[in-house]
Amino acid sequence: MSRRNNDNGNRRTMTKEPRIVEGKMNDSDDDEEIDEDGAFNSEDEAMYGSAFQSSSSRKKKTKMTSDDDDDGSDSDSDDGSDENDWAGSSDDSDGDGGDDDGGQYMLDLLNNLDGELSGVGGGVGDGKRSSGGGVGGGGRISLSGPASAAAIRLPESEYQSGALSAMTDGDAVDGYNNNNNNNNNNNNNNGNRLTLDSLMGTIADTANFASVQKSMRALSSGINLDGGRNARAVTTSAPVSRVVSDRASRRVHYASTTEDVSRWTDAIHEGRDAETLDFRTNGGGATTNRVTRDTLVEKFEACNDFEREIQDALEKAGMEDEARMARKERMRLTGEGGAEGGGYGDDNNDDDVDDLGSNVITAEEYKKRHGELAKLRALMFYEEQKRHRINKIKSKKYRKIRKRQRDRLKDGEEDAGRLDDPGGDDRERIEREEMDRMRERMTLAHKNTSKWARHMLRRGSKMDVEERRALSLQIARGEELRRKANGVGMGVDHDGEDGTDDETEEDLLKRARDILMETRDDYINDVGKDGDSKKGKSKGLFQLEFMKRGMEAQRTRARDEARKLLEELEANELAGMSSDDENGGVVDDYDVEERKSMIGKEGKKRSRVATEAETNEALPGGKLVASSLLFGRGDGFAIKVDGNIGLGDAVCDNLTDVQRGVAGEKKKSNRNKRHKASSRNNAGAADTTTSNMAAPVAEEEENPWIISKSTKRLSKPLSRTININEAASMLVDVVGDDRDEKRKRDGNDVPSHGEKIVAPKEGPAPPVSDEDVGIVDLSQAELVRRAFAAPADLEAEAEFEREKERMKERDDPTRKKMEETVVSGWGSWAGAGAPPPRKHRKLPPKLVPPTSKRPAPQPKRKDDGMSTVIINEKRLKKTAKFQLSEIPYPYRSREEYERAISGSIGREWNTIHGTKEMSRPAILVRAGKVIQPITKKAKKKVATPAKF
Amino acid sequence: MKVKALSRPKSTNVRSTNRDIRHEHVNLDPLSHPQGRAREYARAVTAAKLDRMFAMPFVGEMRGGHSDSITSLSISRTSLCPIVTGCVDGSMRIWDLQGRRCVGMLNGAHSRGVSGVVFGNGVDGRIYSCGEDGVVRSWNVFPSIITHDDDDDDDDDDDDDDGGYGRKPRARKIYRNSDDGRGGRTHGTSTRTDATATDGPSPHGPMSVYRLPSSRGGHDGGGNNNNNVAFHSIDHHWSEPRFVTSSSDASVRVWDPERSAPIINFDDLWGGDDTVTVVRYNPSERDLIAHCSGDRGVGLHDGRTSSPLRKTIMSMRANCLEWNPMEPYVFAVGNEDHNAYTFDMRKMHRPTSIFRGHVAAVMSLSWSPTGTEFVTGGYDKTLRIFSVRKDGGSGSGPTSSGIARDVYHTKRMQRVFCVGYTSDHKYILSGSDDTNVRLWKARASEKVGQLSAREESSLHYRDALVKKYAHLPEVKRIYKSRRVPKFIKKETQAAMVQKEKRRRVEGNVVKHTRPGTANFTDDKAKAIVKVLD
Repeated sequence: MSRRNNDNGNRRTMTKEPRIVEGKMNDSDDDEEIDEDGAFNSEDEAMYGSAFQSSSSRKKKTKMTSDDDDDGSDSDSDDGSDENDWAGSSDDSDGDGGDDDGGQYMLDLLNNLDGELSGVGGGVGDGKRSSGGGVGGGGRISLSGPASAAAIRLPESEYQSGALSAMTDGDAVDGYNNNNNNNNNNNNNNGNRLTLDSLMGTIADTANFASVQKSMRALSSGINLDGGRNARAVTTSAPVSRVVSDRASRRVHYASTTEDVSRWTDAIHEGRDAETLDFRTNGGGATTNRVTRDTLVEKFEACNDFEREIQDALEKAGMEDEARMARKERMRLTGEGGAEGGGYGDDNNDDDVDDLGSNVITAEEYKKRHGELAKLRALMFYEEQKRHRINKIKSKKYRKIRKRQRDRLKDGEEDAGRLDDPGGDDRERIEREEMDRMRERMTLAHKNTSKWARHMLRRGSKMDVEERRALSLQIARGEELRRKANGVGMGVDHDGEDGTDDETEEDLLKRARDILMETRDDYINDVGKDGDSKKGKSKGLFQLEFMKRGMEAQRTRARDEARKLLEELEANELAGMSSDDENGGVVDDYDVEERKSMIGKEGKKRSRVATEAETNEALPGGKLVASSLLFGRGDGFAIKVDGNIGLGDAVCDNLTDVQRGVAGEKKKSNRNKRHKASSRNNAGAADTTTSNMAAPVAEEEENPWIISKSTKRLSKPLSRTININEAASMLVDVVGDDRDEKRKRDGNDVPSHGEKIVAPKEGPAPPVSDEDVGIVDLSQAELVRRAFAAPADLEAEAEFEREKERMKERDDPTRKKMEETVVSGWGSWAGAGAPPPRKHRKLPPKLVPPTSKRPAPQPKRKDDGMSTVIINEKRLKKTAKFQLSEIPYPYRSREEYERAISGSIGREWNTIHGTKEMSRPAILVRAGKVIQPITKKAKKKVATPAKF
Repeated sequence: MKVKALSRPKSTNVRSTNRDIRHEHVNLDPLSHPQGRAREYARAVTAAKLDRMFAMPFVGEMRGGHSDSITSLSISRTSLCPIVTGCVDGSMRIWDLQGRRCVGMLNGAHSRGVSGVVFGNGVDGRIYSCGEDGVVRSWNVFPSIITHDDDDDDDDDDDDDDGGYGRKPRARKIYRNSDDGRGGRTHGTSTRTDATATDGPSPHGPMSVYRLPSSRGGHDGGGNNNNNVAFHSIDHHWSEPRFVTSSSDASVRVWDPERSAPIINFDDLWGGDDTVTVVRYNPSERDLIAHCSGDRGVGLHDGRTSSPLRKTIMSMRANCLEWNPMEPYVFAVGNEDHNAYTFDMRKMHRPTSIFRGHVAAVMSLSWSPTGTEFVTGGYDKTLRIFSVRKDGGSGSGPTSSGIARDVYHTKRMQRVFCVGYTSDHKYILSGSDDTNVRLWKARASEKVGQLSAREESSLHYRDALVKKYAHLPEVKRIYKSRRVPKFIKKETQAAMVQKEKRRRVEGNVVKHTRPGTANFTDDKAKAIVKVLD
């Protein structure tokens, strides 16, 4: 739309020349025009937004020169109707304003022309000026129009309405249309050139412009006559459209403003990066005004009388400042003041001399004396401190040590004296030692029978290290003494303990037998009523097949254990006898006879018990006896037996074989023992032996062994030590099992040689002898392993597998609910008279979802490949609240976040300053203080170094 | 025998007076303070709880004021006390913030609605109001220093910042004077005084009237101008006596109070013919002006060159615009699309951040004087406070989370049309459809009044703890949760569902097209349609 172009052009020229916009120029008509124009634009844009946008984008690409064309072509589509409308409106507009405007416009134009066409010649300018009035003159006049039709392009349009209204008194519409067309053509042809011809073309056939036309023609012809010079020189380019120029200016301004504003960048980023923005005050001012002592002193000036008086006095005394005071002091001390001090005032100096004159010393002397005194003082102080410290020590231990030190000193002296005079003191020493020994015996300090010792023993494991050591020391001493005492006859002492040992053994044996007998009875009973009673007996759980089987297995196991134990015990007894035989070496006829008779009488029963057949017979019903047998008898022994059983079945099996052969001898040995006892004792003891013989007959009765025990006790000093370990080892020897070899290797001092029974090497301590044979020869680790023998590895693995399976099951998201979804009773009536609940019916087969043949794939787990690991994939709710699912936003890595969050900020963990720093808020303001926006001035203020 | 006993000097235990603070003993041995992190976490949870327990943001409403919805609000730039509000019914009110009472009633200030009010920069002690009746009027805040102001006008000109309000104490007295005249009656029977007030001339003014020069009939005939132009916004220059208006004839005009006609007229704004709704002076770059217009544009001017600079067309209309007082090239706009945006004026093609949360259009916006946060008032009857600073402090900038740190609402508060952040960074004012001006605390759980040093450090410690552990679920849940009205909650959820869906669909599209052809939408880029230069 050329009109708009013109409009813009006019604007541009107007802005070139400063014009005052007051009142007049803002005509209502003009405003309306502009409004209309603008409105059209916006409407247009709204309707054909895309077209506009595309065109604008094209504009950006193309250069300024082509912009005009774009505008023209864009508006072409609307031309017809729009122009007509516009023409109509222009017709309506009143002529006055239009004329005025036209006049002004022309003036402007001509002003421009004056400058530009000065080279053309005065005549031309005159002619143009004269053509004023209603004619719209072109800004630039081209004299070399290519076409015959002269075309002047009007660059302005804001006031064009007026101009054209003046022009189009007659049939201006057509003319204008023509003009438009011409414009477009010309635009296409010569770009933005204006030619006089094109300007004149529109008014070619209007009568009113005849004079103008004439003059113009003259003008043009005249120029044409002038020839080629002008044709070459004249055509000036049309001004770029206002849109373009405005845009350019906006761009420039925007760029400059951007640059301007960018000066704030540093300040802004400083603010953004600051940990804390403090808007409370401007810092720096406070520090300058801070009052310190030095500033006060420095600035002090006496202002009132009192102060002045003091000042005077001080000056007089030469003490007005610190330096002087120090100097004076030094002078007085060193006595050199006399020479220098003269200046201070004679009176003072004289006084000093009077007082201190006699005491004047040289500097060296002073220093020396001072050093001596100081040293003395220090020594005294040190000694005093030491004494004090030592005297304050209350510790008994320390005192004891001191005392011992003293004693040792004394002893040393005595020893030295003895060396000088040997023999004389010897008796004394022996006496003293004897006294010591006696005292010790009286106090029984070496035995664990004192009150203290008993107390300690009762405390048992609660003893602390010291006490334990003391106790063991005591025992060791006792041991030592005993050894000394046993220096001649070793075997005597053992018997006390061994007797008890034997006794316990026998007790055990007896109990074992009892139990075996009992079980046999039970078994017989069981077998007897097998058919009928089994059902009645086993009820409930025990009816079940596997329970029965289990019971059976348990029984057999118990029986085996009992049997083994028994065998072992018997073996012990046997060993004891044989050893007796060996040791004694004497077998009288009586013994033999006795033995025979024994075999004949009660011996049968006893031997029978020992054989395997017997045990098997006795224990078929298998009570759970083994454990009671074992644990009924206290700690040490029980472990022993257990261990022996643990040695393996092979040994035991062999044992049983051996047992048969040995059984006969056993009886003999038994008898031997008793015989020995009787022989060694007096005649009275013989009765007891007979009763002893009688006792086993009535085995079922209560504890016939007590008597035998009593006899044992009597024969205590005579009977040989037999303990289970020896017996077992001997048995094994008899068997000749390879197990023996191993035992030998393991056990350190096992007597493995044949029939020989050797007393333990350290005779006196039976517990020791107990421990060095049998299971005890197993290593501690082995013992522990056996004691806490876990279920076999396989079992543990299976357990683990099960656990893992369970976890898998638990976490399986595809797991189906196995419980029935339908609970009977739901969905049916309840209460009195209600119909019975319907049975849940199955779905008809066509409605049942098909079951997939392939099992659903197992969901993946993290521990899938790992046979020994279970990874719990469940979220732990308890710890979830302390955990983050992802790294929070400003942090980029886990480390960064952890670094940020590490450490504490509280004052328990930091200094006061640190806490304050770390908990400083991001923005500090003071209530009621107006915060002014950032200013350049403020910026400058910050930049100046306010602090010094 | 010596008996050992604990003895402490009296000075460490005994207070000199009853009012004295108690001594605190801290054991500095780290062994006696194990598990620092666990303990601090527990403290952080407690701190978050306390923060929420003490959160009572609503200070009070200002009574006895308007009888119609409040359209505009302005806070003095130099003093804390006075604020002024404009109403749809054409009346204005001057308030004393300290006493929370109305001290000046300017009924009938405009014959149509008051569209904008602004305090002068303190030089002349004036307020300016513009109305839809096409008139700008200036008023005096403190009526009894009229003469003084007139006398001293020239002297004050050289002093930028504390010109008119350096004499605040006197100004306070003047309040009382005005009360005797008019304001004294405001409390009890406000409506009646309204009726009487309209008649006589107010002690506040109008001091002067500015109209657009009309071509015909002259501008002094009647209240209304013939050419039917309504003003929509007004703002005052921050240092010089100059103000700028925006009007419905798509122009921005700069006025000098001494002249009756505008001194600069930006009337060709990129060929647009839409109402310019908001216009604001930059507080620091003092001649920079930004405006919003009805054609969804946000434009910049320079008052010195009389040339517009650049304009960006957003996808929806911006309702409000404010410059950041501490970052001169940053401004924020509140948009019709429920979001607020911040812009760097050097890069107008793209907002620097988007602030989401409102479920209706953002009607107004106000920066904190610290430039670190701003408050928005929405058509959804809530205020939201957005922080532009990153929580971590350092490395902050345009990387804020874009989510409001707090939401304020009351049952009776209707659509919020104007908000203001007081210039001491402590309070927020809101004017809403329900004719009330409300006063809020800017930080909901902050204690009002003087704090003892110990109290202050304890509060700082608590804040620091919460900030440190804010990412942990428990602290986050307690600290960030806000109760909002059901309507807003529902809307927010719906918006989230929509967003989620959009995201999903986009993801599918991206996944199933040739790489490079489709991409996720860039929300920031989407907010801008084009940039005009």
